[in-house]
Parts: sequence; structure tokens; C-alpha cells
Amino acid sequence: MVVRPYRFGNFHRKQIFTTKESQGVATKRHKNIWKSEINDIIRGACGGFLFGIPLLYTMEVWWIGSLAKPQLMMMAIALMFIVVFLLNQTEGFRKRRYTWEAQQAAMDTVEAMAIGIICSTFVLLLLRELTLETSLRESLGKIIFESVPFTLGVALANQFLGDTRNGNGDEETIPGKYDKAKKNESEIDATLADIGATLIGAIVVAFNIAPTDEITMLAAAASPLWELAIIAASLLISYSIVFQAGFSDQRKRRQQKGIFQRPSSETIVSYLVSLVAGAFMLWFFQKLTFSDPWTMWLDHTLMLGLPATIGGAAGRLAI
Amino acid sequence: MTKTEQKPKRSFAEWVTFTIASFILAIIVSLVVYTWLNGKNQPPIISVSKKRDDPRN
Repeated sequence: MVVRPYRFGNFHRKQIFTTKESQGVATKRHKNIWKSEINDIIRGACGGFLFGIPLLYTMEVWWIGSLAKPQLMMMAIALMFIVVFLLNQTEGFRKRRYTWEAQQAAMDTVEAMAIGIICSTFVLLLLRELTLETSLRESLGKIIFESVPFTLGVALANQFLGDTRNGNGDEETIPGKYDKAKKNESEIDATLADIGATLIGAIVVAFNIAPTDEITMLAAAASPLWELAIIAASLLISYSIVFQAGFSDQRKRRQQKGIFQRPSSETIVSYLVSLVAGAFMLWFFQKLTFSDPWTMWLDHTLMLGLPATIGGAAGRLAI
Repeated sequence: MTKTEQKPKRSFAEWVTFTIASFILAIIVSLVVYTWLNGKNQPPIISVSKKRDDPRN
């Protein structure tokens, strides 16, 4: 039997190639694990914002939190855990389902509660309801009671507007279909549909908040620096809901034609539309009049702009 | 049992998230317990007291 040396060489080369390839696949998979994990967390946070933002603009909840005794806070945490655990048995914020395992649902519940606590603390800091002067007990009460609706929103994240990122093969065929369907649609129609959807979403969420006294109270407490932070947060949350959270129609959004073609420009334009809608609602409820100074119009509108832009983002996905 | 029926295990990233999340929750719970244990006999921030030696007497 003649052993041909090139066979060994070829085999060796192939083996090296296979090893390198498998290393590459492993790195890619490793990256995908982190990417999908971050997407899951963003989806959960966005669900929390959609569900929790109206209660964050309710001063009665701040007061309930401020006056809550530690025993009541512990009870709120325990009840929140039980309710979110039950929700996680059927729903949840993760793409992957662990419905058959109570232990996994409990772990998801801990994560959902942490996301809720972080997000509500962030917004309370942004709205100046938590400052360095706020006492520890009051801060804890506010954070815990505001995190309840947030955590429920996190647990219901998959239920909000559905989830299309299942990672199956059908996904690849969708862009082609949309390309063909959208070809005939004119750019102006697409732009008008976007503005309409943003307006409807902004009105649905912000109409409940505009006539309340919270906007006036929050506007009085906000300094120019905080107003800039609120603008940045509004844009970031709006972008995350539409383009990062993996809710339904996200792929369709990326295929959308018209003036709002790029995600960044769409986010900015829809924020401006939400601000105009917010200003109109404040004027409608006589919170702002034409005799008021422009600075008052600005700070009131920016305060209502945060819930309005969250509603607008949800509107663009829903319609 | 086929491969598709196998229970999915938590990835490393999910374990990291869970560790951070349980740490955050533990901090909140321990702070509530701390205020529960230490805030029992604190006087109110504004208190009214009547002086015993009335100057009119």
C-alpha cells in the first residue's frame, strides 16, 4: 500500500481549517448569546416603560411610596414577586420559554424585578422625584411602589405588540415580501402614515397625563440640564422600543420608505411630532395659554414629551 | 427524547444577568430591612413641644 504524503498534508490542513472554523463559530455564538441577552433586557425594559410610565406621572403613587412603612414595602416586594412569578409562567420578557420549570420562572422574576427597579429609579431621578436630599426610607418607598407597574410591564413585555424575533427561517423571507409590497407605496403616504401612527400613540398615552397637575409640578422642579437629560432619555427609549426591543413589525419599520427612512431620523422626527402633540394637549386642557412665556411652554412640553414619545413609538409599531 | 425536546439550559450571559439582578434585589431588600430595624423610635422631622414653665405664672 502506498501512502501518499499529500493526503496527510491535506488532512492536516483540513483539520486546522476545521478547528479555526469551529473557533469562529464558537466566538460568533458567544457574541450572539450576549446580543440576545441584551435584546431580552431591552425588550423587558421597554415593556416596563410602556406599562409603567402613566403611573410614574401620578403624584399619589409618589406619596404612597413616601409614607410607606418598611413592613408595607416588604409586603409589596413579596406580592410583586408572586404576581410576576405567575405571569412569568405563561409570559415573560425572554424570547426563550422556560414555562415548564418553576425554578427558571423564579429566576426570570428576579431579573424582571431588577429591571423594574433600575428603570423606575432612573425615571424618578430624571423627574427629580429622587434627589440627594430625599431620605433613604422615602426613596425606597418611591422606588418600590413605582417599580410595581414597571415590573408588571417587564413580565408582560412579550404580550405587548407581540414578538417577531423567534429566529426561525421564515424571518429571512419577510424583507423580500415587504420590498415588493412597499414598492408601490409612495413616500408621502408612508410618511403620513408614520406621522399619523405617532400622533395616535402619543395621544393615547399623553392624553391621560396632560390635564393632571404632575406636569406643572415636574416642570417647576426641572433645571435646563435635567431637561436636556429628559430629551436624551426620550430619544433613547423611543429608539429602543421601535428598533431594539424586537417587538412586532420591527423589521417592517426598518423597511419603511419615506422621509423617516433611517432609524435615527425617524426617532428624532417622531419625537418632534410627539412634542407638538404634547404642546397641543397642554393648550387644550388650559395648562398652557398663549400669554405664558415660551420657557413655560418649553419645560411643560418636554415633561409631557417623555410619555408622548413612548406612546408614539408604540403607535408606530401597532399601526 | 429527541434533541428538540431537551430543556434549554441557561447561557453564561443569562447567569451573569441573574447574578447582577439578584444582587440589586438583595440590596433593596436589605435596605428595607435596615430601615425597618433602625427607624422605629425616630422622632418626626417637625415636632411641637410645650414648655412647662409658663412665664405668666
